[in-house]
Amino acid sequence: MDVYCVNRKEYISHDRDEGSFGSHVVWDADALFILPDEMKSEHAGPLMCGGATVWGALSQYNVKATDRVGVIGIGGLGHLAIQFASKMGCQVIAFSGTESKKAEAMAFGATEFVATKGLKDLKHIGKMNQLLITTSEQPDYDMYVSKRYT
Amino acid sequence: MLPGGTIYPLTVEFGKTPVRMLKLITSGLNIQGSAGAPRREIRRMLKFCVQHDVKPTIMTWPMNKKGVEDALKTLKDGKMRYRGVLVVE
Repeated sequence: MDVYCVNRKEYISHDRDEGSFGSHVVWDADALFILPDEMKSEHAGPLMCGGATVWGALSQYNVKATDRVGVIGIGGLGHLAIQFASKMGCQVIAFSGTESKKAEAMAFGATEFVATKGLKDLKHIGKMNQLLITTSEQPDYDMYVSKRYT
Repeated sequence: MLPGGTIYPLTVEFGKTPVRMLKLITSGLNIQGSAGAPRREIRRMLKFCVQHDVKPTIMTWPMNKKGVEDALKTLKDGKMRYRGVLVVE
């Protein structure tokens, strides 16, 4: 796969004069994407990084429409993960620190919302097949992978 | 997690995995690394977004000094919903 190619040249660490701010640039067409006419450029931008990250997880490892998919963190990655998994047909359980993003998470397609602050375990939550960690800090894994819950 | 379930740690992390080994073993869980998506999958993602009307929720600023500063302030204040985009004027 190209993202794991040993000779890959990555954004930021290679070819820093790549021409992002230029009016024109010459690039290998194999490394470019033609955006659909229906898609605005400003929406395509976040899809190229945060979108690709969560799509990569949801599309390459046998996630099924019948799966329960947990998404920890509702931010740049998480809000797209919820939409993708929901539209793929999955049940989506959104985990956030507080209740503040509940309405937005449900609007993105979450079927359940869990505010984790102060929670000791997840006994009351149905178990999950997939769990995407999209928070900048690592969650308390013992809550998700524990004697009581796993 | 259900037996055989998979955990995807998607954000940048330099430390060791904090998941206890015993539960991985006794429940047959997986920790699946994943970085971005290959080009083929990005093309599929773009198609999927159009088919299912998936859009990132964005806040936009003009691509100039003030735009960058205002966007970074919003990010630092924890008020970005959910991606900031600098638009070329």
